[in-house]
Amino acid sequence: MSRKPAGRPAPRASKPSVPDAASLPSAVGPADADPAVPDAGAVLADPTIAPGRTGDGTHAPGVGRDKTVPLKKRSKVLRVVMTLAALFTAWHVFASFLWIAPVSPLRNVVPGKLLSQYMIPFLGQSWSVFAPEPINGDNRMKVRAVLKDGSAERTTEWLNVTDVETQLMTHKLFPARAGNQSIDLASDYRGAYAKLNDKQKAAVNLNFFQGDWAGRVQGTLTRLGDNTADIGKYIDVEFRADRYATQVAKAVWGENVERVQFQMERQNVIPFDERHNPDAKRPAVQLTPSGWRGLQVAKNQSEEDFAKTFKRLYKELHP
Amino acid sequence: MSAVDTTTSETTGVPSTSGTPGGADPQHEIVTVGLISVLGRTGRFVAGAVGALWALLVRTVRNIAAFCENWLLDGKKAPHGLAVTRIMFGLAGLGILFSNWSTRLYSMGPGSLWNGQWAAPTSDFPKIWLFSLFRTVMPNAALYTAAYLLVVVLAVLFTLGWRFKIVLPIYFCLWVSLIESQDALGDQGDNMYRIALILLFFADPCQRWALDARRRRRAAAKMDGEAGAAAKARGAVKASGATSGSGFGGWARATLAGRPLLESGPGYQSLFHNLALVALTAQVCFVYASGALYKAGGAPWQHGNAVYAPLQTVQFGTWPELSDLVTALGPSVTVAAWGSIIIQMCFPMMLLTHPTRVIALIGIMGFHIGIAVLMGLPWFSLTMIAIDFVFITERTWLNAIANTKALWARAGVRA
Repeated sequence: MSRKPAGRPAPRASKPSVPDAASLPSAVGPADADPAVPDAGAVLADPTIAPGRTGDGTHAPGVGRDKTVPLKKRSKVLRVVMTLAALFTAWHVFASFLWIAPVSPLRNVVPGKLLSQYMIPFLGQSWSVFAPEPINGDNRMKVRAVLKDGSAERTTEWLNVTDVETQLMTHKLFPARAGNQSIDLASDYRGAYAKLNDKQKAAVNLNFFQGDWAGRVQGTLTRLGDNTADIGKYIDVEFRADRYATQVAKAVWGENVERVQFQMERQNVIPFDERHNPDAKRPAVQLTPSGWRGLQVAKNQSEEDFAKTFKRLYKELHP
Repeated sequence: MSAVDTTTSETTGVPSTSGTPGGADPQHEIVTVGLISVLGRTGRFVAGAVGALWALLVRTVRNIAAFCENWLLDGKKAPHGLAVTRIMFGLAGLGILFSNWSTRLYSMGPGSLWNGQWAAPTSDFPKIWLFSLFRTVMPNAALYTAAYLLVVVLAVLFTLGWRFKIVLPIYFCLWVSLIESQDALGDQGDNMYRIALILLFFADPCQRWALDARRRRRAAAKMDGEAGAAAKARGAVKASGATSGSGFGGWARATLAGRPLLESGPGYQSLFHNLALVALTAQVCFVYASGALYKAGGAPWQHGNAVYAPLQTVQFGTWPELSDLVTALGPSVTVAAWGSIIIQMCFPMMLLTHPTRVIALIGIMGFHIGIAVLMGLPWFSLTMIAIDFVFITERTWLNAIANTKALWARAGVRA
């Protein structure tokens, strides 16, 4: 592994005396200690001075002030392993770069699906957080229910479940992740609802709560459009919201809940320029309504474990 | 020789108009000779220059190769920085577990099945056997709590650096299982945490401030006492392996006593440790730079007021009074918005020299502390800050330790 420079004497001409011996031992240190070297923090200089090549004075480059980094004697196996490991690290870094950067034609240099196969699931990530436009409003969810009151039916007031849950975050140094549940539901629901066509939007605002109501919601949407993927996403989030609303209603109003209704809201914050205006009001609430729905409970759902926490939070807000 | 010289000097003195008639034109001859000599000299110069450049190129490539090789193979870098990363990762894990303890059954365990993650996980991990524990125990409150507590114990061991090479894989599997079983509740900090843990598999974050380091130190000291100079020369820990007997039992005892797995090849230990640091550095730099560029494309960031709106929401303004306070002054809002972009964008380059590195680290830590407190994302921020600690140079750590010790000693004298 000798890296002896090709033996041209020409460069020596620029230097009258060749201080071979002088340049060698002193050249060991400086490169290591160079403060401009972008190492990852370590400056532990290796005390062992390179054996072999550097000591014998045969390969001195001759130009006095050049620093020569010693090339030490190492086993060939170690060098092969090092090269392979370094090449793999280079691939890892390159793949991470392509994955973290926006999708670009540069990704085509990686054949087939190799890039996503390498990155997903272990290295999956996305860093456009709060970008390009950070969130500028609140998503919230409201729930109400129809209760069986003897032979009569009674409709409850709307309950702002986001106010209940976000007590886990507001004025908390260490917020619980549970505080985001209804916010995420509202955001997801609004996104999926926006993808439906006008007839489908009108349809989901109707009531479905008798018999196989879930099947009828699905059938109605399919009849009104062939946007199968959008319908699938909508159904997924509607049923999720319904299962959540069912748990909320049972926790707050008890077992005699007949049906539930939820509505999602989005309200933007006061614009930046208006923030010191005492008369400024937050922009109007954008409402995403939904019709009445029958109850839905997931298999293996523990209503008790849901109710215990939700009721506690509810009572803190409505003593 | 002298005759030629004389002739030349004489002829050069003669005016060109009265040149000697007949024969070769001496002036022409002189020009030719001069031209040839200049050409020859130029040729030799070019050849010399090419040779010098070539030698310079070869030497430079060789120097870079040697530098990289020595950097990779001669010792594990950033022992203190990476130890702090490990400790902070452990604390971030404990913090997440502690923050969600009282709502674990409600939002992650049996009370959460309404969200569909148990029936049909959106993350790939719960479908992989190694990471399926928390999905499996999700419907059972007692089992879920037991598994949760197990992760707490592992996080403590991880923080303390106890049997790290054994604890890390178990902690990794259970941690990923726990977090990914409730994919929707997570944030990007979870991804960073997972990716960094994967890289830690190849590194040794227990060289300092770890129970593992203490055990190795004690084993070495004990051997020093017992075995004398000969054993000392062979390496104390190795000697402990030798006295523990041969075969698998001896190997296992010696390894458990603290002998490194690749003891005979310290170059290999350094190689994987340092390459993991390279990958971690690249990861962090890409994340910051891309974060800056994504932000720079948005109008609110361009107009310098982007940090205002999120702080006014319920979700990302967990201290509304503080949000109003810090966004009251227009210029400070713009400093925060543009400062975030600039510090994130310049972070990789600022690592290159020590003074700019100090500025970059202080800036980025301030940025994350702001996110932690004002936006209610403490564990996301701690994860990011934890990695940034590897960029504090070893010299700075050693100085800080020495200064701390000196202060402590001086405080003792006064009392």
